[in-house]
Amino acid sequence: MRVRVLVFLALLLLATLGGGIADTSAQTPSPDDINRVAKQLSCPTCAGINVADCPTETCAQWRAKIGELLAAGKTDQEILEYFASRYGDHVLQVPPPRGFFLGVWIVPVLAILAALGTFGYLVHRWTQRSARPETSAASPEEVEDEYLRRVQRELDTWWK
Amino acid sequence: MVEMTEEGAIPPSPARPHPAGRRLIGLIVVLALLGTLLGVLAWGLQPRTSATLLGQPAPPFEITAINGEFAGQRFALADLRGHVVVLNIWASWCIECAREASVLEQAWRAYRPRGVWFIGVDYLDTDTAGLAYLKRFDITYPNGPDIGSRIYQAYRATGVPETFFIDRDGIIRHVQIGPIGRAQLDMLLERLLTPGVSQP
Amino acid sequence: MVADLGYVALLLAFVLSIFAALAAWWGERRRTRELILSARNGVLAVAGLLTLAVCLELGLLLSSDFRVMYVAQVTNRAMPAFFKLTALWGGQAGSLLFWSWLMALFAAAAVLRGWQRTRVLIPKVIVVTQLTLAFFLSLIVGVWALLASPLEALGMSTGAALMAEMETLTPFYQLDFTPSDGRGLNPLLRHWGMIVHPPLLYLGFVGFVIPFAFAVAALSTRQTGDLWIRVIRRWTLVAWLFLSMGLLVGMWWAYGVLGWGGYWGWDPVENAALMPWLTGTAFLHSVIIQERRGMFKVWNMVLIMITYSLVIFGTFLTRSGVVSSVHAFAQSGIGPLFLGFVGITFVASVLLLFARLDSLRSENRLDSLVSREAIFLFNNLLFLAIFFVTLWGTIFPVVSELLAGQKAIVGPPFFNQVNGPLFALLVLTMGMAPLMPWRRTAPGKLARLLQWPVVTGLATTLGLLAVPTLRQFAVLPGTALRIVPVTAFYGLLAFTLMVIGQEFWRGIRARRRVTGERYATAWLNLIRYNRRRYGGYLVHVGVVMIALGVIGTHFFKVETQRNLARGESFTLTSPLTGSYTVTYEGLRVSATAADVRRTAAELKVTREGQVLAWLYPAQDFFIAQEQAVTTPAMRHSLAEDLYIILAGWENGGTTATFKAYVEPLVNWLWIGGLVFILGTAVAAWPTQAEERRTAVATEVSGHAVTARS
Repeated sequence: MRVRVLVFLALLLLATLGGGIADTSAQTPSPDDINRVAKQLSCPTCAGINVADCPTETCAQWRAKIGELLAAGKTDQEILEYFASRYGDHVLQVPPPRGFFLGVWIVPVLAILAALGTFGYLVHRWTQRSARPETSAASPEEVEDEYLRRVQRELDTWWK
Repeated sequence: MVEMTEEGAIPPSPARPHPAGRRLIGLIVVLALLGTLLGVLAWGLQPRTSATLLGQPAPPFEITAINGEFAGQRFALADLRGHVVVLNIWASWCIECAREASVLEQAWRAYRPRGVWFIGVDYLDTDTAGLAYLKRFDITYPNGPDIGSRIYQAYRATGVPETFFIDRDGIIRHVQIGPIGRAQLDMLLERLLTPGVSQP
Repeated sequence: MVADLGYVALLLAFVLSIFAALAAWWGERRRTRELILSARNGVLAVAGLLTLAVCLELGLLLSSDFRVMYVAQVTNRAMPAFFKLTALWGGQAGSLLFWSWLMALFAAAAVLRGWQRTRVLIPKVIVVTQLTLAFFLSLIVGVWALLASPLEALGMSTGAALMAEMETLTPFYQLDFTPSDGRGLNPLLRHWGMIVHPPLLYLGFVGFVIPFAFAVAALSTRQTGDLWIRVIRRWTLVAWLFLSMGLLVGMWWAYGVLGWGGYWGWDPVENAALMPWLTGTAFLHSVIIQERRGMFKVWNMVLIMITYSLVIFGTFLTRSGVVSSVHAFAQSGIGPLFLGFVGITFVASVLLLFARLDSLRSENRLDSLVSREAIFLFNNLLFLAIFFVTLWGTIFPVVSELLAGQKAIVGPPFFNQVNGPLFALLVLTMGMAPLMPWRRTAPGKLARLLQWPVVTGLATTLGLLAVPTLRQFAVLPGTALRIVPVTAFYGLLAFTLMVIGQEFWRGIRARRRVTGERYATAWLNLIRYNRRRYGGYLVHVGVVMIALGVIGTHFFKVETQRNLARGESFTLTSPLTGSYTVTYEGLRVSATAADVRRTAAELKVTREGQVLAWLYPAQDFFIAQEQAVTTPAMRHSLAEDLYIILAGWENGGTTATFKAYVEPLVNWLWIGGLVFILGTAVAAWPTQAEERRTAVATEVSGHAVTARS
């Protein structure tokens, strides 16, 4: 089971990393190209909605600007950087990975690691302790059919 | 709050009760974490609007003008010390801004000879849209984009338009939320220009 | 007149709630039966008075009495009567009244239901519920306005202004004049999803007050045996059911109304509702360990306290304006008051818990890492991790502004990337848990049980990898890496389903061996006589279906935006079913209600020449509010939705712009939601055996009290 978890974690990690790479096809940008970039920006005049879906005038202008920059051959990443430096980091959907903003990623990872560590430590301690025969350990066969026995027990009580 | 796992999940062993000291430390840690969370939120609740800057030194700003005779010139608040400064934050998509645009321009032309500087800050606009707006209202006082939305944030603006009246010593003497009329503008500027009177 | 009466009822309810709390407190300390009886009557009277207040408010809304400020804020003359009624929860003051009313009803029900069976706990339950209620009522009876002049005298003018404003927060506050018409309800809220969503969510939120009250009562009276956990489990399940329904309906509304092709945006207000759901779900799992094995008692207390605190905290987030959100109410004096209440709740809970740690000794130990207990613990860890990530992302903008002096937005990509893998792990534990027996596992047995689920899971993954169209679409943003985890996840879902199916199968076979029932009868009886277990499995099947939809829409969604002249068409290729050809036939204007003008586009949807559907995406213009709302049009199928919105048009409709989405498997989300709710209802339904066990627990705790006093 542990191996499965590890493999799965590794795969998910890869998937997450892979998500950042985007292809850039320049020339005349289609609305879909523009939306692809606009989706990664959030518009300060309409809280919580990305620029592709935001119906305000500001966002319409921004989409036009994205179109211009795409036509000029800029990559998605360069466009995002342009918007962040021009209007502030808070127009990005996720804070840029530098300085204090790294905290947004690091703190949850540290918290989860700390929780996992605690979990592991506690489980280790408990299982070690209970290895001593202070509680009557169930024999494997007993455990094995516990489930089926319960179904039958329920049946028994039901008849009465 | 995941940290609470530590205290919460330990089932105390029946044979050996928790030492009181360890429990106290746990209590303090949990309360400190909760206190921090509440403190951050309390800070977040404080009103941080432009009105709270009234009577305070104006935050420093710097713009590079994009229009008319000033195009390409840099304007910093520090360089304008000794002048009355009218700082107007606007955007091309803002309907209310368009209502006061010509009022501001006419006032600029009237007060420029008396040493008043009008500075326009273009918030969240693309350069094309901003320039078109400046051309449409024939605005000649220096206007520049708010790079990084820094001025908007430093002045704690709550929307556009907002206009700040800064006296010769760099103190904010009036904050106008929403469009301003000529009569009020005249009154405010006359007060600020009268030597010895600082409160409009 | 009506408004005055309503205000008096509200004020009386406020006073009585405080009285009931005090009477219950003293009655218990002095062991005076009369005082406790009168506290109970107080609780019932509060519920009655608030019912009256709500009825009067509804009357005012219906009769468009605009002199009452709240009525003028949320309704107008042109609105249909039905929406006037639902405007009760359309604004701050009304929704606080509604919330208080629900809480009063819950408290009355808990006291009546528990009067005989949980007698020892009832006084403290009254204290906790009525104090909470008193706080909420204090916000809408205007008592805080009394603080205005003392604060002013102390020189705290901002605080004084905020408190003075509290006077107008009464839903019965009357203006000096009568406006000719009201402002009306936000058009986006005029949808039945939005009518059902807030009451469900409020029921869920308010419902968690009851388990918390019982937990506090059990702790403070040291009745930490079996009784409270049994009582609490049922109440938690009820609250959790409503909260789940509220979340699901909210998602459904967002999908059907907001017109961006999504259903969850990780907005602070959505997170505020999700967080107590996460910790509540963790509690519902770990409570089973306490019932069966007498372990994790402290942990369960912590979870129920966190959940309640999060309910109050979520209300604070939504109503204080501390984080900006599309759904949030405007900033007001409520913020500081709520923060104070949140603080008191937090600190009081923690202190009480630490003072009573000794009475929460574990009766058993963890025997093995490969056991039901261990996997439940891991499941709890994951729920708490997701909760923490969500909390952190929600408050990070405030933290960033405080510590770095810079605003930041933490949007969906953060939550998806961090919480996504955690949710995947959660599904894995969900699949594994039924295979793990309590205490420890015999390895051979586990291997035998794992056999078929693992084969099914692997076959699903490999099968999907072999489908060329899927492979092509899973690599959307230009990388082949995505397809592996996605297909692995589908394999995981298949594994989980197979485990659950196997459990049902083993149960059915066991029944048939004894009773000789037919398969269907055996299946039904299996569920009937073990509702908790098999209800739980049904919930898990629902979760698998929901996950199917979430993964489908998240990874395989296809979208495009096109500007079409009349008669032109575009094609959109679905990853599952082939291509859609959408032809624009023209615009049509009509009136759907007295105050709504609808502009709808006519779209013909074809596939290989066959007409599949006519779709009419529209923009509804609400005349009174001068606000346009896009109304998406959809073609539903089990495989996917074709979802189209009208983004705009030029020259009276000679050209128009559309956004079209293919949302693969999205309907499994809603179907899964129904299964989920059905499963919860099955699990929550009282069974005779359960009642008997509670009765025994009551007797035991009764003896304990007699012995003590």
